[in-house]
Amino acid sequence: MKRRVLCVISFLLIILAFFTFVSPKVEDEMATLVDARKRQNAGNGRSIQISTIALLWRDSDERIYSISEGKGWESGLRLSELSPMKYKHESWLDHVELAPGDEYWYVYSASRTPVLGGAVKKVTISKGEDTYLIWSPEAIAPIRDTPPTVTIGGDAFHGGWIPGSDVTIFDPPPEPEPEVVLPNSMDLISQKDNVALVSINAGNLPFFEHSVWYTFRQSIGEDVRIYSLNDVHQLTSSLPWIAGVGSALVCSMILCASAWIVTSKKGYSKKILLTHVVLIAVLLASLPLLLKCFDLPASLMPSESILDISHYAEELGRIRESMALMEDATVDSLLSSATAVSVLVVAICITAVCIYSSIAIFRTYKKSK
Amino acid sequence: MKKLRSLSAVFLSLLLCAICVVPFLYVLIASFKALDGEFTLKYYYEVFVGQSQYLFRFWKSMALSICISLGQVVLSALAGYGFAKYKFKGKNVLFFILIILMILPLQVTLIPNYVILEKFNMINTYFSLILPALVVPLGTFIMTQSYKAIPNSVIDAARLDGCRLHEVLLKVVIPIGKNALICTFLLSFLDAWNMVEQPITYLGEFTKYPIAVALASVPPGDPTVLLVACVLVTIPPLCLFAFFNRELTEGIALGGEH
Repeated sequence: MKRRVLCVISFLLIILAFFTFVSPKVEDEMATLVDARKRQNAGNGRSIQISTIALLWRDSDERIYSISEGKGWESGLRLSELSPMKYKHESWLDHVELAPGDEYWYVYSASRTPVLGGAVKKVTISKGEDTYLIWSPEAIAPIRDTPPTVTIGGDAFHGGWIPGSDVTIFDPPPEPEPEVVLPNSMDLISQKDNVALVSINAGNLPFFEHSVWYTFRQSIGEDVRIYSLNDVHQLTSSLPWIAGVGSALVCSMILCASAWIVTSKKGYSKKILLTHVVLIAVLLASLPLLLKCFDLPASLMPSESILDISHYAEELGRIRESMALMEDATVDSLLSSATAVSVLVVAICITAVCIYSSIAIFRTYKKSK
Repeated sequence: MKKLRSLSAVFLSLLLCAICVVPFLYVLIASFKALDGEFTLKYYYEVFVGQSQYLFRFWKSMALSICISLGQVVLSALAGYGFAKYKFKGKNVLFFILIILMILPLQVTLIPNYVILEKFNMINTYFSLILPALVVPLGTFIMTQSYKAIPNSVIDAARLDGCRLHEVLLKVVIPIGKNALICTFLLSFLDAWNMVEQPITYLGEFTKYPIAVALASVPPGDPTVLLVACVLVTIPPLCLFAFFNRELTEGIALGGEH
């Protein structure tokens, strides 16, 4: 009876130890990344103007958010809504006015839709090369990566005299073709149907979908999704490490079960049992090192649970389909190679532990006979 | 008539058992239910994976409780041996005081302890929880009663064989009184694991609170998270009881024999 209880306790302890190591990493990865700016108190009682990029959508409403230090269970940096009394925005203006008052940190841009009271992580934005995949549920209008030339004045108009009449009828001016105009920093790589690939030399790192969308918000819809291929690369390169973390848990469980089987035989070797315990300890101790080896991209993380597999499947599936449409196999090959390496890592770890456990059990049985 | 009696005894035991078990079963079942009544693991994710604070506090409480229990076991074993096997002036008075201290509610000693701890600059440190908890009289009482059951002839024989005091304790007395020792360990562990008033009084910072205290302020967003946290809190006492249940019952029975 005691042995069985001890086995259950060991399983529980392994699970608890595993989650103790993993949960801070999950908490860190699930925190919303924010580019926070300080609202300085000018001291002269004047309001300051900030870009409308700071207006973030949540529940069909545009608001400005601030960050503050949480208390109790919600300690650390937390997101809260800035009181509407503290800012003013008129829909026809391209800026928001922050009312004079105390100093505080407001969210200039964020990696995802804000969650009130959610944990946030302040990041410093740097610049770097990136490629954006623009996906729209409908066909995207032609993308132009140079601003249109504007001619001032001009006398071209369609129309003419109708003989015998005092009335002049003019043809209506032709409707301009709808088009998406890219900012100067971006170059169009290719475009097909509802997908476009755009490269940028000095893109914001980390990638915030909302800030990129904001740069051409006037010519694309709200339901357009923009993905960073750098982030896709980051996610795929993390997969083998994640597989390693998962393997550590499974291998610890296998070793625990094996130790239970070994100790069920009379006259079992204490050395074998000790080796099992040491191996479990080593596997659990390796977790912090494994977890330090990767960082997941904020733009591809689910909003609620990190284990939301359907979210990853949907996002990666969409990216793969879009890239296939563009006849670009980079993402496909990245994903398949990362999956292959991950499966290999899991297979090697589990096979090695299974072989070791089998030998230990076989030896113990042989000795007991 | 005899059959009726046994049937009513069984019924009463089942009723008592249900009264004890039903709240725990309710917590366990409700922790898997979403607000709409459907099965979900969302709240377990929240407590075990989503937030690191729950497990960190759990381990913090575990370390604190183990420190207190081990310290109490050592002190109780030594003090119990003194009370059981030595004759000295004022022994009965001291033992009487010990029993009175045992009866006294915890709240009575909170303020004097606070004043003493403040003088030693120990407020807001974990020492303020560990040090006063080391000298709880229940352990000494249990160990005294247990050691009284050991015949003096056994100890004399060990002395004649050349054992010194610490050898008598380690090789003879403690192995014989093992059950009482485990019982003391378990009771002090449960006491330390469930302590609420002491951390609130002696620790000022929320970050230092053990899990039993911090649970009271789980954000009221979703009460099911609290239920899952309660399941987490019950794991160590349940495991310890499942593992040591025979020693615990024997230890308590032995303590009551004298």
